[in-house]
Amino acid sequence: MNATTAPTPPRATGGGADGAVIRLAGLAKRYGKVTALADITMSLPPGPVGLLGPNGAGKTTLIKVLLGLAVPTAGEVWIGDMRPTTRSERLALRRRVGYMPESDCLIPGTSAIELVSTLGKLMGLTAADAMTRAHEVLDYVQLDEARYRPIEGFSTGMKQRLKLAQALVHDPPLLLLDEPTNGLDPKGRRHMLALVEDLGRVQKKNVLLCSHLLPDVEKTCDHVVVMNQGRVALQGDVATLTRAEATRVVVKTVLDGERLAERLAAPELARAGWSIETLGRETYRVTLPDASRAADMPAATHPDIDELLALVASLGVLVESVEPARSTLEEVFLGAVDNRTSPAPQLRAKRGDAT
Amino acid sequence: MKATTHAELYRPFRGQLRRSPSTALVLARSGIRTAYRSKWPLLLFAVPLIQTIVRCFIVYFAFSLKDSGLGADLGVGGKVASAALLQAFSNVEQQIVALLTITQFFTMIVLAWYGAGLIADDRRLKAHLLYFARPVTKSGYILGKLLVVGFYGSLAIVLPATVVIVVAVFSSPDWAFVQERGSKILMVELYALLWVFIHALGILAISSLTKRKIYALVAAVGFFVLTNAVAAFLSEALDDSRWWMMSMFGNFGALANEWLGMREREFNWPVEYTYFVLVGVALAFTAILYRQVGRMEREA
Amino acid sequence: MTKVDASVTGHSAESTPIVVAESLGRWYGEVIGLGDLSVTIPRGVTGLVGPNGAGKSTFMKLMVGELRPGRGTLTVLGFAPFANQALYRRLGFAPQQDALYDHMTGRAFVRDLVRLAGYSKHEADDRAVRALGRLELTAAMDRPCGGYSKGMRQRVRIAQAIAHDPELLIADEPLTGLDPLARHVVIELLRGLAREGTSVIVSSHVLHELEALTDRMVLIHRGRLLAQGAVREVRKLLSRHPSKLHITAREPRRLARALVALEHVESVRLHSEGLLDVETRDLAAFQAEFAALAARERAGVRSLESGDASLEAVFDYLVN
Repeated sequence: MNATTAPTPPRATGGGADGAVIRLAGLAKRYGKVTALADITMSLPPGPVGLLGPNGAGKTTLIKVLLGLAVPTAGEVWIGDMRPTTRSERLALRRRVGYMPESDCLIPGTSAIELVSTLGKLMGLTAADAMTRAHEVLDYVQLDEARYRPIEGFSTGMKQRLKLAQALVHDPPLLLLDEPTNGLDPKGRRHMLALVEDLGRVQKKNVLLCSHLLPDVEKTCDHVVVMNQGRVALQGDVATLTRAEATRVVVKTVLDGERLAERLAAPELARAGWSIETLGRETYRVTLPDASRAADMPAATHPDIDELLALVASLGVLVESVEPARSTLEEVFLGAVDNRTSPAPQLRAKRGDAT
Repeated sequence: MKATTHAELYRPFRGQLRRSPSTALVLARSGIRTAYRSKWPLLLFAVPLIQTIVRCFIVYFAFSLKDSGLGADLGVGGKVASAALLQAFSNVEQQIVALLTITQFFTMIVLAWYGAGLIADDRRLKAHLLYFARPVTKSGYILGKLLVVGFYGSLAIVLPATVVIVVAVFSSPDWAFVQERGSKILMVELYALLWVFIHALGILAISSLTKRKIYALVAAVGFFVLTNAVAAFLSEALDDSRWWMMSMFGNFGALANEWLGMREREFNWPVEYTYFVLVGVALAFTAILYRQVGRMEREA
Repeated sequence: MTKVDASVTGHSAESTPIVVAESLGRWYGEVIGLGDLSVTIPRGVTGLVGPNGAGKSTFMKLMVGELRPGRGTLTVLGFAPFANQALYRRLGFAPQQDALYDHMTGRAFVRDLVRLAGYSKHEADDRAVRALGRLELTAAMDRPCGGYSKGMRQRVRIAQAIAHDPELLIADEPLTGLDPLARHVVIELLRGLAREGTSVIVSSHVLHELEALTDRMVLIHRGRLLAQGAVREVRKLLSRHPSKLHITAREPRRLARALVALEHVESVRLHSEGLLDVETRDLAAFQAEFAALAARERAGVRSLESGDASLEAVFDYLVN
């Protein structure tokens, strides 16, 4: 598609040809001399999408544009089949978006149920619908008797769940979640991430998850967008970006890993295609000989470690795990944003090599 | 890792979202309900309540005492009311005006109390992040808050005045009070509403400039009291009542003179000046409000 | 609930512990902060973990001398911490809350705090600049703190905690609010500090971050010690939970049959895509036998992963 022609409007059924719910074309936003967003073009599929980027990359501005709070200097924004151009359209856009802010925010002097139902009414629900719906979403986030108590007494976990509930009250097709696991303890984080996954993968909402916790994003999102300096630095499916390699594996040994390293470094094995690299204490990256040498054999898509395990068994070394080498999302991110070669070895070492 | 299941399933919403909900009314209702939560501030209404009750009695008796001397003079339309009745009307007017004058101060306290935190607390607790992610305009937000503080303010001054007027109307023979002093009644209501409106705007504007209710409260009360004190001092010291123009008390006093026929104090300036000042002040407060709320909106 | 102790002694040359708590307790009126905590934290990097309200912050405040113990004893680097000037100089504390002066520059802020440790103005400035440099704040250090982002403020707090080269750094959630770039910087810094011999105690809710730093942790729950030691060792002690493993293979059924024959294997479950879930009572035995078994069967094993040896899994078992 020629970049200069106007994009064809999506069908009224609420998505682009590829089922995308959010589409941005040439979006730009300038505040005076400062360019917050410069030529953003992306098409986000339904389901959970991670929005990543260093501070100041433009994520907040993008959220504001999606909420209709910032008027784009150039470009177009499509949410489903809506493309807001006037002020009232931008206001109406908010009915389709549920926003969970990062900061602590409350309506003073109310209880949880009052807050959620008032915010529901402000979206346009009738009083009866708002109350029913408020109870439903509070059930979903598991705020039980606490919903009748004043919010000022809530713990961090409860406040976060309340913030999610108020974003869901009007059942929007698009959810913007900004650091939803902020301040939550491990159990709370797991619960919150489970809800995010449910909303994205099972309820099939468009969930835009902004988080600095890349392993969380890697686990919960199918698709990621990495922003940097107002542009999209990288965009793609998590599975593709962190695809496991077929010929390299990361081995973690329990003890005596050096013996394995020595053996694999032996010249006859090296000639066969083996090599080994130490990543950290008891952690190694092993390159397997490529079995598909013949030109007509398809390239291996999965590692085959039977040989390796045979070697391990003959040495009597105990192995804790063997996994296909894959880039973590963190490495992908740093590579996209930092321009220096991603410091893979230090990041891969799960055990601190400092102690 | 698979998604872990949890007890509740998400239920999609099958209802309708209304095109343009009246956000100001929703905010107003919610705000009024929240303010009503704590019952102690209702004590602030004590004086206006007592005043109302006392004056109602006075007004009632003003007419009933004169009843005997009224005879069959009155009829609908055209007939001249007796001197005694006119005297009664004047008394009643004085009562109403006195009521207004006394409750003004307490109304200001009520407005300050209920209004000081309305926007300040929202700013402190970042409620605007939630409000402006919804189809709420600046005007809707401001109007909603104005209705909350206006409601309580009206309870302190507009309602008492209205109650006394209603008692007067029903106490006067054949509701003559309405016919004879209908325009006056209108002016009284207008005066009280305007009083609430201007002061409410001021309180909200001050509330929007800070994040702490207590600062707004002190600043608001301080502003009104200080301007009054300074005006009083200057007009006495320099023997020129035009200094009263710098305070709300002075301006509303002049308004009372003009609209309600009070002549307790002399305010030596054409009433047009007061109109000018009040409009100017209202515009200033409104400008502040829109500017501050605009900043809140952008922060969201 | 029984305490799980897998502390490994003699891990490094210097085995004198940095923190020793015995029956440590502290209440806030009726609310319990710590009930009865007895733990010994050795040198090196240790993670401090626990649910909200478990007593982590109370414990930290006690260690840095902000609070006095209600009962029991606590020694940090050999000193009782409360109001102990001598200890302040050897300790660095990076708190979680905001405590910066907006009008001061980052450099001035850190410099003034370093001076409290007894350094001259010139030296304090040197140290401040170096510390801020390690946190990649050199460009921003001469700007007022008021203009800093949340992540930058966090890094300033860490800078002031390390500028005076303390023996022990206690950091409360040092990575919150940091974007992945800054996160990387701080993780490298903490590792670097540990290599230089500074001991570090880090508290965090984000368990995979802690795992990137250390394998030693102290788990506090309901005001008491719940577990301490290397994660893997702690896991071994939780014998009532059989170890879970995930194996993928080209011919999973054949492999499954062979695995089931092993005496210590409790169950093997087959999933689609060649995935096997294995539960075994004896992880060490499994590890000793698996490699040979796989080599024998030649079922095309592709991966072997532990299902529950992570800090997150261990935490889960212990806390629930």
